[in-house]
Amino acid sequence: MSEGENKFVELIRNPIWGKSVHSRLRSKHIMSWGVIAFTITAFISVVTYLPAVERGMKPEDAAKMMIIPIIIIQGVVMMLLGTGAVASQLSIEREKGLLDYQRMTPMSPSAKIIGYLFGLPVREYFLFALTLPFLGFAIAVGGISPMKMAHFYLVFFSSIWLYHMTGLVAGMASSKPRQAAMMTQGLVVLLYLILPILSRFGLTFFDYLTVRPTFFAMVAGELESASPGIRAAAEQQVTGLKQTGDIPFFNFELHSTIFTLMVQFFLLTFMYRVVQRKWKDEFSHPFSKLNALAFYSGVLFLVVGSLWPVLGERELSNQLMYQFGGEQGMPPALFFFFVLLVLLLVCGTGCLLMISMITPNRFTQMRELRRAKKLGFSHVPFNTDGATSMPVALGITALTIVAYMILLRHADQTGWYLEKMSGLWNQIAPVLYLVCTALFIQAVRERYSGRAFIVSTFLLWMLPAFTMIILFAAFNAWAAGSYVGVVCPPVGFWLSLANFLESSEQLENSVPQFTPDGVSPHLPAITGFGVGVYAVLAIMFQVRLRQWQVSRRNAELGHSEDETVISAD
Amino acid sequence: MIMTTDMRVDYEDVTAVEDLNLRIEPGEVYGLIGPNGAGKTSTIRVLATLQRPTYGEVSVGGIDALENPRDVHRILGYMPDLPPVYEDLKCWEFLDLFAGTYFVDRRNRTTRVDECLSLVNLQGKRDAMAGTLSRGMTQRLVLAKTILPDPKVLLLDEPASGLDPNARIELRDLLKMLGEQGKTILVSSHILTELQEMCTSIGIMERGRLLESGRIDAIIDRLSDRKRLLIVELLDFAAHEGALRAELEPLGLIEPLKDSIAVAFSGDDRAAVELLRSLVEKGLPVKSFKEQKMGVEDIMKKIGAREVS
Repeated sequence: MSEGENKFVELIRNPIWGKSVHSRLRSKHIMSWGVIAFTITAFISVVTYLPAVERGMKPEDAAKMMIIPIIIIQGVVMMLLGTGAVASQLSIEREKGLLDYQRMTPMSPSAKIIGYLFGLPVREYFLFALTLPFLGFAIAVGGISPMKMAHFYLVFFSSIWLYHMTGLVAGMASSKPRQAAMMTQGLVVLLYLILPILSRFGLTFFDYLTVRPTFFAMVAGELESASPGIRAAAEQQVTGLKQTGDIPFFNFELHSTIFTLMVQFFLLTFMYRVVQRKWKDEFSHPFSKLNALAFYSGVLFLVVGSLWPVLGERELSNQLMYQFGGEQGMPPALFFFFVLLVLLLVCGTGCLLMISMITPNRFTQMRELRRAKKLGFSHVPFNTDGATSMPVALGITALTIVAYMILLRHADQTGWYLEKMSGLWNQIAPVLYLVCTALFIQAVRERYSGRAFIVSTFLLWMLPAFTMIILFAAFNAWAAGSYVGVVCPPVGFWLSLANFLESSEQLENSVPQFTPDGVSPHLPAITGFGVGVYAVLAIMFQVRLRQWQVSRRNAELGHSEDETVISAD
Repeated sequence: MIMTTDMRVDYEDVTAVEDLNLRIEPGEVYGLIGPNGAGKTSTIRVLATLQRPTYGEVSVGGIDALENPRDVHRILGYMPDLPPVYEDLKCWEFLDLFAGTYFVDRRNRTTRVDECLSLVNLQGKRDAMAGTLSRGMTQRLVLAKTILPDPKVLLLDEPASGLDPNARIELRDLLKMLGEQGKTILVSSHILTELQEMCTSIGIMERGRLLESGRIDAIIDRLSDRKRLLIVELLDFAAHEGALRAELEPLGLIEPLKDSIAVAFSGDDRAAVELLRSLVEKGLPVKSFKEQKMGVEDIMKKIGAREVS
């Protein structure tokens, strides 16, 4: 068979997909699962439609009312059950060693990934298909625009594939099937319930990981006659969604579908890359160094693009402030404080995740060092798993500083949150705190084992936070408590931002301070202390790491040249 | 052909394989022997492209396995130790899946699946669920899956474990047949007798190092210093032992056994015939006069490898 024919076979007659059809769609499964899904959908459709018609509602409005419960059933089947099935089935195959068989077949990794992506949830696709007659009835009788529904289902399936790809990533990474299924189902809940909360602080793109904005933009209007007020509820629910269904991003307005597909495509691409890397070598890091840098840059682009109109467009920021502050709205400086705090927490979490994913442990470094020695290289190549993650850690922290400063400058130009921002040190201290923390974490992660890293992180982060709470609650020792607590990053972000905003000139209607009276006078010193602690720790542990790397290098190579062996290209 | 050059495999602090140099020619059935933890499975996993070595060159069928793993996959069949199966597939579905993933022509697929099932004597289980098979049958089903795409190189990790004596004989004959077809076959085991029956060449691994490698007869030849072991058994051994010793001691090292004496004899077949004639002419009641072939077990003893059963 020719290469071209092979590719055709791989795509159209994917044997991995066929295997799932055999194993997950036997007549016993079709009968048991099919009867359950069909009965539930039929029951819910009938109890929605018939009583409404009996009460005198027009049949088309009653039919429209069926849409939402059907979509919820489809969502549960495809998102929760389907994603769980992908993650657990894949990790079972991995645990048993069946994945090794597939790794060794000559099919391309892409064809294998597609086979698993569409094959593992094949039963859920079947169950989805069983809901379609009811959906068809609702669309036909309700007179809903088929084009709008097709548009909605384009995004619905894009979300489904994103979640199923998350399941593949979890299945590849987790050794326990139950753990993998629970992890991904937890992630679906996180994406639908937790992350959209962040969008209220301006990080609107988190909302677009779900199908909700498209539902509200495309379908909710169609249902207005059956469910009055649904359109208004949609605008309350989805941050930044305008009457037109467009999303502000930088100075542009993107159609909600385009924006959703863009965000989902970005994540899908990188998840695909993770699965592909794990497919080729299950012991490899999820990301290469350059992938991590590219991914983090992409996230920052989405963060800055989402926050740009929030900080620059009065209407949008007012909408968000009123979501929190009710009739009065939230004071602008307080809103600005929370936007920056969420920005730092998201960037900090992102840095931590990227660093954890690409930092080699000491064994990986030794392995790569031996390899470099054997191959006659003067250093470990930058983009290999065994190379130090220090340059990438520096890169992502530098990008964070740039993004943060761009947004501050933008907010400064609008003048809607503060009358005048305080000096450069106060502005930059929060992000410097983040940079020093990230470089400290990178050094600890690279030098010590995972357990030592977790223990040291616990001691440095949780213990000071607990001590601070005790000092506050039991002794009213506000200043002392803050000096201790500033070592815990979330507290450190809070206090350094509070220092920045309290030292800036407030607008007339803003609140004057963000910390208790006992803390405010000490904020500059506390901020300096926090940044100083992490700067010292970062330098100290980076030096120790460097010494250790040089000593290992000398031990492995048997000579004592002092530079470059484990450094980047 | 399989070739590794200075191949090393590390797991954290442990070196599983250290600077392994291996060369297996087409048509060879090569047995990799060693105790548990010797590095056999790591070696096979690297050859199967399932794992990257710390360093070293690996070539399978003349293809660089580290640079072009997908090309290696086209010519490679791999059967792991305790091989898993898709329990919710029927036996024919299991084989059909791999026929598809190895691009076996759809028109010939059913025929090929049936051929492989009959090669491993599982025709009767064609429609049985793979999860219901016994261990030995599972082993045979995976062997069928391994040979289904007609690979040029076969890597079999402990293929005979769990097989009953008949199945072992069938496996031996099958491997012999595949070897005669010019395929390169690497079989690992820690059971010596199992390998001696199947292999033309062996490699002995211990603690990540290859202690000995080559054709079994060549290794025997080398380790026995080109001497053959002759066993001379006498009637009424006690009465004639002294005389027999006197005859044999000048020929080489001797080792007294129960009713016989073994001598490391360096002469050819003609000299052995002469020796027998001389013993009989001197009135010694020779009950049997035979040459004992050195086995893999003797090789292991000779090179001092431990822990191998």
